[in-house]
Amino acid sequence: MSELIEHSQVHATFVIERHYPHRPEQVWHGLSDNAAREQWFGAGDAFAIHKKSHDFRVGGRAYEDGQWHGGPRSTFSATYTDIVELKRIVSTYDMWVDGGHLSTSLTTIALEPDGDGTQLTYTEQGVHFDGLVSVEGREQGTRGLLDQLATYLGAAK
Amino acid sequence: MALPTVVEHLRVLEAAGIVSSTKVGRVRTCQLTPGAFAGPVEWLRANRLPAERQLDRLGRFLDLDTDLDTDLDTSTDTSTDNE
Repeated sequence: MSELIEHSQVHATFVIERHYPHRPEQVWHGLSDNAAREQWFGAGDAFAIHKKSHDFRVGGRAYEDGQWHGGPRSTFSATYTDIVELKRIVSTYDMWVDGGHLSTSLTTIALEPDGDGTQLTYTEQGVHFDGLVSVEGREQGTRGLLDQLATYLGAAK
Repeated sequence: MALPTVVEHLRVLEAAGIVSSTKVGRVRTCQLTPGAFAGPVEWLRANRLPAERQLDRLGRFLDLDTDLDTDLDTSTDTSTDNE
């Protein structure tokens, strides 16, 4: 069966920067606290969770398994590899869609105080397998815009 | 870089559709194929987007998490004039 798959691997690195008008302690709480993280981390309402866990410590795992409404099954599994309070979170993660291994990535989140707020730098280095495309990637056209609108409305409130 | 190395690099780029070349007499002219990077750029954008969206959601959460602001704020609260 696997002979039908054309195997390939593509490496990619990208950096995303965000300034949040909140102190590093608050951003850190949002990233590390289970209850807080629960409120923003994940794919949102279009995704039904089957199984979920989060253990914020070096060697701890984060796991999320579920189904897009009317769509494929998606699995996220991460391991924290380095944590420096208020400054740095490093983890590795794997993504599967319908049992197909999408990617293995290394992510680094760095926090720095920036005026009254916090500068967050997210760096992801990954290898993406066999030309598989994530559901989020596929749906980016409309969903991305709607999310940006929601963010804008939230910020303008 | 030695000429054979350059030729080999160009051959790879040409096979990938990133450059095209024409040969007139002994001279081969290479040029960047217009739009050659559209595919890779789109791919990169699609892979980058979920992470961007998640960080936006974190920002929205932090904006709404006003109870936490108060809990963590041990100094005098000077930001109550928002409403």
